[in-house]
Amino acid sequence: MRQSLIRASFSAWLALTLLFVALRVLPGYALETTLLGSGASQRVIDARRASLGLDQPILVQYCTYWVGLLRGDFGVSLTNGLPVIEIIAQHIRPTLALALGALLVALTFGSLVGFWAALDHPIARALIALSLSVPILWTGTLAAYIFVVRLDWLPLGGDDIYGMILPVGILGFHTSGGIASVLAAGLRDANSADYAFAARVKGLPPRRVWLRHLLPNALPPLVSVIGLQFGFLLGGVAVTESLFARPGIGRTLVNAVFNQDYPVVQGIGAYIVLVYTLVTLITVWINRSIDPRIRIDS
Amino acid sequence: MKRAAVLVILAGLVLLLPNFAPYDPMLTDPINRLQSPSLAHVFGTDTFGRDVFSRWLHGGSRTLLSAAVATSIGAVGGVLFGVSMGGRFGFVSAFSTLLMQALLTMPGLVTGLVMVTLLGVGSPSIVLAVGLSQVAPMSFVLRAAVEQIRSADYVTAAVSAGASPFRIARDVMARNIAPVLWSYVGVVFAYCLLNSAALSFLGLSGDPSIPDWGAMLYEGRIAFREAPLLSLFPGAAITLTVLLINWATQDRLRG
Repeated sequence: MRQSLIRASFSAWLALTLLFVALRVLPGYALETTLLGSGASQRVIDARRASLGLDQPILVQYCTYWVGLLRGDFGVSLTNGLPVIEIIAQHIRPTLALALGALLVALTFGSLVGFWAALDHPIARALIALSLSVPILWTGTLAAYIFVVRLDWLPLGGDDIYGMILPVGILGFHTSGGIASVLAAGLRDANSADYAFAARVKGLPPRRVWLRHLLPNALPPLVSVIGLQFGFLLGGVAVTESLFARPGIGRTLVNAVFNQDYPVVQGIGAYIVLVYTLVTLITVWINRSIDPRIRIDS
Repeated sequence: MKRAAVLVILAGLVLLLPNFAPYDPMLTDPINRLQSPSLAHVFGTDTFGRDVFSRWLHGGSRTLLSAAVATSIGAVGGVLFGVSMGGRFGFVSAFSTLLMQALLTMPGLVTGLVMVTLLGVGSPSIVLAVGLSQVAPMSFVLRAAVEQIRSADYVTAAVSAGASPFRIARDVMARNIAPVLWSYVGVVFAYCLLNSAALSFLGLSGDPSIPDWGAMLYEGRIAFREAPLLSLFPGAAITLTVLLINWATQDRLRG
């Protein structure tokens, strides 16, 4: 456990350093070239550089960056001058609701389809294939057309429960495929093991064999893939929020990318790195507590 | 066999699709905007009166080619880093492992978004960003394959027979890693196609009048109330391509 904590912290440190290089050092040079080419006077250029902290040596900038990160200070947006941390705080609530709702849908739907696919049912296999291969932007547009325009059952946007149904359902459906396929594979593997045969020969009812003897053995890879799917969810949020015009972190990130608003991209990127690293650590920890083999191995 | 067939089909589509376009895909005709499918316009016309069928054909060629270029970037990077992680190269191996682990702390699409910020909006930067964001996942698959094969008996046999390291790498290791590599290249292609469509859909391809399936979905999203068909054709094409790729690579992964 301590080892995985150290490794995760080290990866996160390196990722945040790469973000610094990619979004502070390299654009810093680009920004200066643009400023020099713009024909602005030397005084204006110097003032601009100083306000962005670009006149400091790289190492000093790097230290300032880390002190800021640790204090929760991600810098100031280039487009509207707001502190990045405030922008994140303003937009986190709808994103959290969307991501957690979608995760819930994905877990419920993914587990059901996973069990169904473990019995080799073609419809379950088709659902998994669709969940994994249809672009989320397309399902979203089609579902919006059917449920909003044609049937007029749901609103397109909106922060209430009705406005949430479409985005949560669609993001959840596309997150469920990975969960279902890993669960099905794990269950199928367990089903062909000797202990499954032994449990059946003992005369246990099928429900008990599946839930008490097979499911626990399929859980560790399932927990890992849920962690991975959380990463997919973080990316999918950007598409879903833009699609349904929801005011969240994902749409803010896309707008910042569009405007080359480096501090905002850097701040949201750092935030995502930290959340994703934490989720990965939690999955490692859950797996250790449910699977004694992992504890003994390490 | 299946994989070779799919490769030939995709290459054929890239080369041949534009030749069947009845109109110039960029030609606007505001009087005939948003027409339903007819004999003159098989898929109808879009918001600017452009022929959707022609755009779909040209866009398909462009989209598949971009995904192929992105896949090559991801595959070359993934092989380089994967081999250096799996091999015993001391400092280089350790450094590659750290770098790839750090890259994996960010989801693929977010890595792509960060890179587009740096490179600026436009389809070349989408291709580069999407390809580079696949390097880390690919490298871990390759490292696992290298480590597994390195301890196989036939490698030990080749070593004790006195084969040179280069010969082992070329004739023994590469040959046995190839199947894993090719099936994962299929997976990477599917991700590249979906992710570059997502980035174009977010409006990051720069000029949406250049035909591309992702950009067509972006325009279809804007007009989805009046013209749902605009989204139907490019979306179905992306889905079918990904299903085709998954079908071709699936048996290998299960194997």
